[in-house]
Amino acid sequence: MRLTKPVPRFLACLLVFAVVSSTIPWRWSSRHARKWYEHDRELELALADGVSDWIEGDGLSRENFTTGSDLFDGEWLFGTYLMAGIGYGQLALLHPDQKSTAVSVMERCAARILDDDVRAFDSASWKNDPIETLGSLDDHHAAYLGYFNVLLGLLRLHAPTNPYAELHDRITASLVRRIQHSESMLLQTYPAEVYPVDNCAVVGSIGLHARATGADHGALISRWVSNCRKHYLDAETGLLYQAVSHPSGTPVDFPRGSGTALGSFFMNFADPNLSADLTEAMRENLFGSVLGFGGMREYMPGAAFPRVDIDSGPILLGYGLSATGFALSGATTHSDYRTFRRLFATAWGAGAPMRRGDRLNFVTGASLGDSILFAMLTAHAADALPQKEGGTE
Amino acid sequence: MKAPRTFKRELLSQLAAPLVILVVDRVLHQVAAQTGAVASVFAAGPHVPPGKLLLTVGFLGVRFVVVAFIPGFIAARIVCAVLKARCLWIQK
Repeated sequence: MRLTKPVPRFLACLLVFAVVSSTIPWRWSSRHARKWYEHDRELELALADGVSDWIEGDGLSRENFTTGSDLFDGEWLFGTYLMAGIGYGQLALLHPDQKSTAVSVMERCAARILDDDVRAFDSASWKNDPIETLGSLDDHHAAYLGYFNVLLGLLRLHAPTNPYAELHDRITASLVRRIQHSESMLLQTYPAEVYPVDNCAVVGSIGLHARATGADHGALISRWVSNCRKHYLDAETGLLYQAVSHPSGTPVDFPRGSGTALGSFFMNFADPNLSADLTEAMRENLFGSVLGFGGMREYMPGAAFPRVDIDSGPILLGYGLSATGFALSGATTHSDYRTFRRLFATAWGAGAPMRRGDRLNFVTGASLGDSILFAMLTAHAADALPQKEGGTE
Repeated sequence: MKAPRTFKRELLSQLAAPLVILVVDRVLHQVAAQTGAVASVFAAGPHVPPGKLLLTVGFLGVRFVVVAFIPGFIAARIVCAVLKARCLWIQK
């Protein structure tokens, strides 16, 4: 065959295109994967600097988020400070010399989360304040309190006598009472809205409280996990249902990737076994790759009426960007480098990383994405977390 | 009869398109980073204002093409240039 003739030449070029596209790009995008997986100090500090750049100085306000929804703008403002603080908490566990910087940033994040403008999204939905109603058994504020309490728990691990220690005890005690009082053992995020993933944050935060203070929450966590396995995991796949009804706890949404991946991240603080099982369920049922780039599906193939929403983020070819980003943490904490490398190739490629001096930012992540990826990439195995004597394991 | 192009000219001609796409990607990269014109991919969805959503999806689309296909595109174009220029080793 004369390769210099047009048709054979075109076919030869097509073959080269196909071979190179399926072998080189994902490997190129994942070239730093091993370093991130092994928590390379220089890379993690660069991303920490990038995140710090968003939240230091004047910081962020609702105006920085233009999602088109007041509620979502408020949620993402809260989420940015939250994930930034969590990332710093994990960073200091990995690199102890960063402790004083991390504690300072975490305290700043906690202070901002308590500011009226940041907690407004939650108090507007509930029509009362999450902190002022800690004595109530009915006004759950599961997301605001659960997620915030994770940050306070990490802060407590590093600084047992920090200015928020007493608040940490009060929030934890309130969440424990509310779970004990709830028939389904689940708390509402907003009135009559119940999301198991938010409850994973609640229970994860209780586990962190035990680790940081030595308090014994073992029996409650064990009962909650058992109940969750029985009622809120899909029997066929082991994935976490995204939403359930109040008060019965009947599933009202599909088992989904974004909720399962984030649930696994939080459960690692309280029950690493459930966290590992959620990660494994995702790998078995939702993981796939296109041209070598790994992704997690948001829905099981064939799910009726799957929709794109605030939880899923954009869905491309069935793969959810949120589910893929959140799943990085599970692959790291449960030692699955093969999956991590593929997912990382996608996150790195789609994230459009940009180095400016010592800082690293992801252009398509913006403040929220930088913070989320910071928290997910600095996640590490539960056995590396400190455990004060007397606490639950 | 038209004189055959030199290999160098053929290569430059073949690589023009992928190089333009790469430059566009870098420019978009800088503009997006400086202006915050794209929404966070973690927060993008049907609630995002149409203009911003379009920019976000467009930026992601260009990223996808650049990351996944430009290496193969460049390799294929180089092979094409080699074949088109009737290099000596092909001629033999």
